[in-house]
Amino acid sequence: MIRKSARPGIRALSRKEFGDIVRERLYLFAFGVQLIMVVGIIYTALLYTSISSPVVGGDFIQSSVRVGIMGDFELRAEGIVAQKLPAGDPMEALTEGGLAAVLFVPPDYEETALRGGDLRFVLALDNTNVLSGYADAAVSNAITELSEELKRKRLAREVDPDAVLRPINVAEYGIGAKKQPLPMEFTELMYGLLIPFILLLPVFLSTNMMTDSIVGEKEKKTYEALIAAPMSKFEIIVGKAIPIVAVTMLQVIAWIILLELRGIEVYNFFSLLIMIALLDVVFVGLGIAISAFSDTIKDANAGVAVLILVASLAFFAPIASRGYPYAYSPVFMISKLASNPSLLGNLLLETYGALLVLGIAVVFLGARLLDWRENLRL
Amino acid sequence: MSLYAIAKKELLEILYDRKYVLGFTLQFLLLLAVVPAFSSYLSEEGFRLPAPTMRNFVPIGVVDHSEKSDVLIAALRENERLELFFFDSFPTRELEEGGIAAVVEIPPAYDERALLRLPVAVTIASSSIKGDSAKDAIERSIADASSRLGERRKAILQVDTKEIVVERRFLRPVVVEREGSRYSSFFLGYLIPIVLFFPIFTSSSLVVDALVGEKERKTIEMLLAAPARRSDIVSGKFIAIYGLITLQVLAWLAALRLEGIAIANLWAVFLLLAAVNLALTATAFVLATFSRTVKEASIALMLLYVAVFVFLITSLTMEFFNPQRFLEFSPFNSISRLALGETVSAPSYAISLVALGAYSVIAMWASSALMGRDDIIFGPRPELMSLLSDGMEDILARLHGRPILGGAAVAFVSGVVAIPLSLALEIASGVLLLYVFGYGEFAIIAMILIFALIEESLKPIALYALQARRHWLGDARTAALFGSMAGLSFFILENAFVVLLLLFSFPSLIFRILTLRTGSTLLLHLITSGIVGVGISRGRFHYFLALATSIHAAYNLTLLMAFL
Repeated sequence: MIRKSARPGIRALSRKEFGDIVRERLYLFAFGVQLIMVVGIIYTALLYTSISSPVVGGDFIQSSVRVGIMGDFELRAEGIVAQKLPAGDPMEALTEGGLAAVLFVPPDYEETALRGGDLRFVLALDNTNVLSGYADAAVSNAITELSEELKRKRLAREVDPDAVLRPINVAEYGIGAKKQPLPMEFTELMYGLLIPFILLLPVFLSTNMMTDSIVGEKEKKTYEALIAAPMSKFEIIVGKAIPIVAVTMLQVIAWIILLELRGIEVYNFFSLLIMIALLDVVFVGLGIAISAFSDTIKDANAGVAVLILVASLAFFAPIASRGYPYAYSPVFMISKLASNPSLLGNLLLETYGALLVLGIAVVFLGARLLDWRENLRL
Repeated sequence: MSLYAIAKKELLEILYDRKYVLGFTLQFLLLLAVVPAFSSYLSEEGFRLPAPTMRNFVPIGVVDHSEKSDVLIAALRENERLELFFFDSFPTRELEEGGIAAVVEIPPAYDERALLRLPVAVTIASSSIKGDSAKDAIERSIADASSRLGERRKAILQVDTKEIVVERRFLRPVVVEREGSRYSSFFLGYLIPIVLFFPIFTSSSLVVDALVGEKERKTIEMLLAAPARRSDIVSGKFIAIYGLITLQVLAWLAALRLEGIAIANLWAVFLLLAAVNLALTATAFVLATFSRTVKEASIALMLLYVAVFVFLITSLTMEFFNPQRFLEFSPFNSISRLALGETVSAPSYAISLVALGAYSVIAMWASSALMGRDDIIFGPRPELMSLLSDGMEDILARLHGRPILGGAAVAFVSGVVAIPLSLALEIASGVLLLYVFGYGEFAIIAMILIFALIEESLKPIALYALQARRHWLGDARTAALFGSMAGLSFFILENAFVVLLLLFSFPSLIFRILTLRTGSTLLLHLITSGIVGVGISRGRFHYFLALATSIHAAYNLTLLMAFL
């Protein structure tokens, strides 16, 4: 299929195409904008998770969360300043006082609890204040503790309260030294969503580069000259695809370096690169297929836009589905590879295999389609 | 050929393109399918939005030495964040290598059927990035199992406890009731505005094809040969495309209505949306007109829409989590509030409409002016600076014989052009610096220096344009004068901006801040820009720029020290 004498052809073509891509000022500009976007995303995530907790954000922002208490209730939590208020409407107190939350506690609640009566507290939250979530969590924790205490008192007259309230007794240990930790919400957001997104941006861009490459030749009428060269159609496509995948991987490496620079560790570097490269082959193949049906770059771009939209929905939309198919999702694997120093379970090789097969199939199919459409035109 | 005829021809051309119609129908169907799914997903009060990849995020090991731990194991399995791996003995190696972030050990003595306390040991790898998440998720599952076991035991022991019920009330309605249906305000105020902006994002290919596509296919020459004014050609295309976008928005609003999603203040929302689309389409036109190839135009428009989208998301996020009064001026936020049924102050609505309209008129004028140039249509494309120079020469020619006015006009244009450019560059460089160096002294000082450089280079931008055409900046005094005027123009516009911002966040401080700024930075701008002006005239631009930058930076640094 690939004749030995024709291989220098692929190499030469690849080199030429690579030069074309790198010299294209627009791609460089697009890369620059992507850079700013990536930096912006990371920074916003960091900032957002910082400002929503006064404890975490303490380095950046001096803030403490003020919570009003109506009634006899002790609230002691880190970053919270409790303010006693006279009894009244909690919502009104909220709007007047610049408070993140106001808790209303009915009088004599302890007696009511011991009698076995119903207890209802009212928590008014200023949800236009980003710190109110923190206040909510702190107050809820305090209420849970109080609730437990009351239940304990009630039960103590008849049974061992722990047997009913805390049946499971947990002993916690830690091993290993604690490094400078990133906030939990940030870690989950970053590795769960943002890192796969950032690493997939170059892959999406590469589909566009492939269609530009093929359809661009069609438009500039250099396509016929290219076909006349002593290379098979398939070799031409491979020659075009190699530099595109190479450029994509360079971008991915750049983003990983950017993340590491900010102290966000990305694990399994090589496995990750292989995974993304295989995925990229699939997307490049789809780009070839789209090129087959596009006469102009405008059509090609429309096709790529639809592809990217569908892919984004498939990869990132919060559809509730458990189980097997999701475990093979490449985005899922990217998240796992990037966030776990070592990987248990053997789905890695299977995913590689599946992607490899899929990639080759799509590229082949794309080349066939390209052929078929040309024969139709001629 | 009248404007009407041109617009009609353009419209028909687009509609006859099967691919456009196909694309439109596809999007429409997508909308009809996806939006209701999201609507029902978000219709509860408190929702979490997990990405699918957050499922099974934390790998943990479970060592179960007892056979009677069904409730606990079930609780662990049900926790979506956990991925469980079962081991026969304590998996020290996996824990150290980082394959798992924690281990839950259930000793043989654990028996859920007994009524004793049940021991469980949890070991967390503190050095793992997922350590905190593991601790949190495991604690939740254990609490869950505890409460289930507790209920069981209460039934056996025949005792009862009551929970404290917490009734939550939110200042800003989290759930909106309208016409009998309940929606999360997040859905109506956040997702719906995003959905409504889709037509504009998908229209870029239309704009590109209409302007640059014709240029590349050479069909534009035929069009120009027709008896129509060039400005009419541009306007005709604009009317056709904008008309289609507006129809698309109407179709989407109708579709949402049919789905039973009740958007309040429908006409007010539509009007503001139409104004935003007007401004965006006009901007797209300018960019497309200036582009040489379809590829260039596509990328430029893609970048424009990405920037708009980011701005849209950011301002809506701020609206929901930390609203400030000045956000009223962002049309996106106004659209969001109106859609929710909240009110927006009449002045801010009017200002948005007027500002967007004025901007659109200016952008369309620019687009027509560009199309009027033969070098834009046939090539070679002029440099931006060259365009600026032409513009300056034009102004001066019109004000021939009134050099003071001419100079003032040039200086004014300088400020107007410099402000958005310097803002964009400052934001980009600021973000990069903060990212690489973190929020600290070094970053702040670097930002002061770089911002000073950016501003000083850009303030006299119109003067470079003039100097390139060898105009009258020969005399050092005149040059200094015009430099200073450029600086003055920049200062005035910058402060106008600040005043507007202050007007709606801290109105009481306006007078004080304005006096402070006038008293100090005015003098600074006059001096530094004057210096740069002299530098331009002398041809020894770099040294003078360095001097001006140093003065500007030194000034800001001194202020910073004093402030601290």
